[in-house]
Amino acid sequence: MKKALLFLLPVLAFISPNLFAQTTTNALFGGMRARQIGPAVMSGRISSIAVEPGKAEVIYVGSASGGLWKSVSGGASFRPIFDDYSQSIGKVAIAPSAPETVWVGTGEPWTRNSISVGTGVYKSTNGGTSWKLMGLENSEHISDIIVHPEQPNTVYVAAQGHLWNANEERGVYKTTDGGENWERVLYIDENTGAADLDIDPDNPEILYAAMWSHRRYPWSFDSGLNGKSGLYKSTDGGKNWKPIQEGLPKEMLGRMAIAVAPSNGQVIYVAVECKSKDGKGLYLSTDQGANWKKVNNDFNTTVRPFYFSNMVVDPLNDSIVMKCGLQAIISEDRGDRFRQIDGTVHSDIHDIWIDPANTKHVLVATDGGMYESFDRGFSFKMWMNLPVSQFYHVSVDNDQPFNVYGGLQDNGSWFAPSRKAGGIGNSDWKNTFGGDGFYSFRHPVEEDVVFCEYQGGNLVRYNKKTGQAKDIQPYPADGEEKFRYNWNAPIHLSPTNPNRMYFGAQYLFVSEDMGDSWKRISSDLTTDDSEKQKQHESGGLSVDNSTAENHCTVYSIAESYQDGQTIWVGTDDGNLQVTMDAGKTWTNVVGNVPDLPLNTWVTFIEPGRFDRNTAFVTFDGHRTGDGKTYLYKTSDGGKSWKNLATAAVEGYALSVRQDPVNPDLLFLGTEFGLYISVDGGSSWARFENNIPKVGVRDMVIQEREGSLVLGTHGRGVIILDDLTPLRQMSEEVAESKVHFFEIQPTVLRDPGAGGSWFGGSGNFVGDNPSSNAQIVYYMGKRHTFGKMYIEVWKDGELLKTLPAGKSAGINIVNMPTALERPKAAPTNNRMALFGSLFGPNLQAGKYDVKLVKGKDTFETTFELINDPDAPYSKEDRVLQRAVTLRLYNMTEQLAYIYEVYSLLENQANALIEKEPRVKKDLKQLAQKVKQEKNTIVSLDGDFYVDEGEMIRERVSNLYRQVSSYPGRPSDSQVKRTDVLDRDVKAVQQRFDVILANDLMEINKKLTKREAKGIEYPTFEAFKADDGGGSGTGGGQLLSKGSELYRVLRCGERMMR
Amino acid sequence: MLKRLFFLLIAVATTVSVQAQTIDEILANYFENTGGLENWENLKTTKVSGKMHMGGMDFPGTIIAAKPNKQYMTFSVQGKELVQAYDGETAWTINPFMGATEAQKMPEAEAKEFTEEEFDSPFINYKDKGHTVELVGTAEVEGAETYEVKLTKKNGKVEYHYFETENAVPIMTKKVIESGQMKGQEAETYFSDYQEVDGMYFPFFIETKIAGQSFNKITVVSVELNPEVDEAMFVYPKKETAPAVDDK
Repeated sequence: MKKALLFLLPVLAFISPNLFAQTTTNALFGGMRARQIGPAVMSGRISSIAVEPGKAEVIYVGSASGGLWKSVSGGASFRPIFDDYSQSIGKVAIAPSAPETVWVGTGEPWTRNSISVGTGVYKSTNGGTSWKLMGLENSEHISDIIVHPEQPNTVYVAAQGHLWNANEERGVYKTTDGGENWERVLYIDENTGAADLDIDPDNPEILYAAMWSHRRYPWSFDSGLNGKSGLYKSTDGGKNWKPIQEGLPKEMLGRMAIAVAPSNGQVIYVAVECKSKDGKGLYLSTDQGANWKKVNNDFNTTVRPFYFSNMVVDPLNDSIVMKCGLQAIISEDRGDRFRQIDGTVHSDIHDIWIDPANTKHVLVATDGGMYESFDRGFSFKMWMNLPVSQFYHVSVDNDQPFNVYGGLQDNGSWFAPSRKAGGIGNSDWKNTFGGDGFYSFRHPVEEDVVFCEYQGGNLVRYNKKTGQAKDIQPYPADGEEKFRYNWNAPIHLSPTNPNRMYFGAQYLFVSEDMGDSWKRISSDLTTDDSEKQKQHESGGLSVDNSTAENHCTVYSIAESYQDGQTIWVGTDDGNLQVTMDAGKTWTNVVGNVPDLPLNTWVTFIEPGRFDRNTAFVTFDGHRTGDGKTYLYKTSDGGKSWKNLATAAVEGYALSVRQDPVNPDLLFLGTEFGLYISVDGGSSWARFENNIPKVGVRDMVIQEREGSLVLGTHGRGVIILDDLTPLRQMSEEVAESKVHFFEIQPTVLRDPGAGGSWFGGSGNFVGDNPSSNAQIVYYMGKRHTFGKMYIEVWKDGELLKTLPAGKSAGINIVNMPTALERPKAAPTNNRMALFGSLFGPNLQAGKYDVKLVKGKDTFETTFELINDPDAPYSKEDRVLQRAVTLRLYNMTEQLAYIYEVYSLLENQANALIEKEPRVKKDLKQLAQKVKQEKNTIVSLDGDFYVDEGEMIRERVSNLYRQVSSYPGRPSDSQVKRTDVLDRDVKAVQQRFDVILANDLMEINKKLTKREAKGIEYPTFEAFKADDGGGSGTGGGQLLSKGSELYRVLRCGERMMR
Repeated sequence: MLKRLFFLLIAVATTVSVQAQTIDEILANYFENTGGLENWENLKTTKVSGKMHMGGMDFPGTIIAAKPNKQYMTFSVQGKELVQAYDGETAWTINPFMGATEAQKMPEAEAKEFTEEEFDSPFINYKDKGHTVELVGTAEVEGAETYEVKLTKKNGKVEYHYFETENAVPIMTKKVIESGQMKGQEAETYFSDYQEVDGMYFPFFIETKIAGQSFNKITVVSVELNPEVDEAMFVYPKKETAPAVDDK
């Protein structure tokens, strides 16, 4: 074998250039990490809740498109536990007899127009730590999962099946071996899925299923479809089923919800959808479904069955029933009378949980997150820590820091800063408009003007200062056809003219006066197919005319970055139009796109950054059941197209961007995450580090910062802060052993006086960008053998040794931009302690970096610059630094003196018994230094409200004030520094005298007696000691200490 | 063309031979490449000194370990010594950051982790110890190809170890955190900077990540093999008469 390897070596060397040719791989991204900034202030649609039996604090929250979250603290904090899989959760179910076994059916069952898709049924046997796909991969939507009460391996799954086309993987499935094998136990046809399932609480062989025929089309929805919906019952664990519709309307049925009372299997509620007003409503059976009686048809018992068909019966009382709806409703008399829950809860409720241990304790899942009640629904509080916000679109401005804007499903339009002292919290998000939000842009010049909209083309111009929104949507003139606006009507700002904006119906409009007037610059750009324009009839059995099915509309608009005459327009019915003369003539070029099915939705157009004839376009066919990735590029103005999607890309395509610096760097958003190509689209890899498999509907590059900002439909805004390393990737870099990227200078930022306040765990806070200087390099191969570390030097002095990143691909090493905190004497004064916990900023300038890897050393530099936007002059900064360093040095000087005194005191005391002849001198010395120590620090007091203050405390307090403000220190501060300087000098003088006289005297005597003299380190040795000098004490550090302790423990275990 | 084919054939042949490695071959290679199984078996005590990197600061520390599962660790934090030790029966700590100056027994959950730790690599004579191992397949770790090895310990606990196919040494292990705030999350520990110490190889850099984020980093400065160790240092020093904090 060894011989064979030897033989191979030259061969490998020969072919290696090909092996290392630049291709995009997941390993390339290495240590790059995105940050999620939420928000959770409006949260997002939650589709399913599960709570561990007997443990109300263990909660699983399944979101519509933002994954699965777990809390073990009753909602105080959550963490995502399903980021590697489809983020659309249909149903979460816990095995009652083995609560660590959790089942997740992916693919939300609430079949709105913007719904995502699932990828099957998953199981965890360790409470959600790890997951295994157990099958039904092609079911796309799972509405329910029932785990047998005693046998965790016996599970029933309601597969609702494909929404947009016929498929056979639907109906009720059963496994008895934990998901290894599945049997489809109830199947109607390829158009009819299982929409709800329930089990008899007393006899687990008795099951009920609601079967639903339905179909969505890009332009309409049909609940009822071919009339095969029905209610079924099995009494033999699913082997046989029979319809149970005695008393239900004798007409075509639609979506139904079933709820068996957990305390009484005789009592069953069913919400029925049908055409007739008399027929639909809430039905009750008190004989296990043999007979049904209508008990109510209040609005919320019948509203939007496709969205709200879910009911829960109180676990202890069969008369109390809660139903989901536009508002959730609750009846305490078997459905005779209903009341609505607390009106402060977000509308559109999809799931409800009632605590068996306290049935007034209720959770509801809404379009706007999770709410909790302890009084059976009269009042609720919201959980503000679930950042599952569903952005449709995102944009940025050019403020410092830049702001992020966007609109969300049922949650209006918002903006927030991309960086904020203490992190980006819920309260940093400002609302600009209501309804469902989509596109939202800050005017490029007018700082207070934000364009935003709600569904169906309701475009407004919002003013940040006044808080007013003006309606600016274009209306049809006399004789003009009605304007058809998409649910998600496109607003586009010209990249070549800050005053030009576009808006699309079936026509394209342009305005150069902020929307006060519009000019139509096209004829109908769509197919104008009248068969696809019947949204007023949409819904099937229940008419659902919400503009969600508006079709034959313009869906994407993009003006060339180079040339304001070239405009691209894509429509939802598959037209791709281009004009090269600002709208005088239009050409539909979709016919030139190869291998693309007719009428495939144009989701996104990115004109070439570098020439007007190039464009990248994504198409999305999922609304006809076609989940393929379509990403095309043209370089000749649309005459010919090439598909750039490779087998590495998963999910239908939603958005695409070309990097403005490196033409070969492309970003593609699909339903299953972000994909990046560094070679112009020849190869792609998913960026996984902190970007889940969430739909990336829109993205934008903030050009000043070189940041990629993603608008995700389920996980809020996600930012990849610095694209530099990707921009600088080349074949040459890919073939190098170690390559340093040229990173922009790091701005030394004033952290700001504000910060996070005490919001408890229950508030989400988004991360800020790193404030560290970064050393970024590429390695062709992972480093496993030999030393590897980084040294940072300034003017020939070694400042810091840092651990290096060892991964193949891009490594990012963080260098703190502050000096080490000063060595300080102990104190029991709290504010003074804070004053010695932080070092001052490093100075602006260039720093040298040496990366040592085995025998090789690689060198680079990084640069720190002062914040150019900060209002401090150079002179201010120089003075601030000088005063800060004076106080810093005084702190260390005192720490050294204190440390030496302590050493003298200890040694003197230890020698008193041993050296009786020098006893008197030793005693005197010990006493003297003890007194001196007491003049330096204050160790009395309680570290809070009973504190003393000596010179150490006075210095630290002033140091804290001066070092934390980057501008000019006040005259008073400067004078105070002089005073303290004088005091420290006095301490130093007494110290020198003690060393020169008292100590010298004693050491002479000791030497005479051939004893070892009393020793102390030099200041330099003291500074160099790792131990941290005399350290900082005090109760305030206790919590930090215990955290540190945990880390040390963890690290220690790994060391062996 | 012919040349190409030839290379291809070789490539295919090597791929096959790589995949044909059995789990026992992988483990045998690991021990062979890191000093030989005999040396590993002869290891009775170790002393490791290093630095923990956290929040831009370094904390020096030392760990002394002895067969079968004893250990004594000190870390210096802001001038204070943090001690943690296990004598085979009692896990104890002196933690000045919790306000303690004397040895105290560790809380049960943490102490339990000590009883489950062994001095020896679990892969040495794993069958005799009642552990089972399984080669799951290959996996990419930090851009390197590895063998993914599933270790199921006698007590049912599962760990995953990733052996670099090129060098046969582990470069990552993965296990579930069992207690504390991070319970239920997977901790990934990465090993690099393998260096020779008296003919044996040890990783001199260790980084733990949780949910993709660096949790701590340790740079090893020195490793001593079979140093003289006074066994008394492991022993819980609390006086017999003193009431124990959490005696049951």
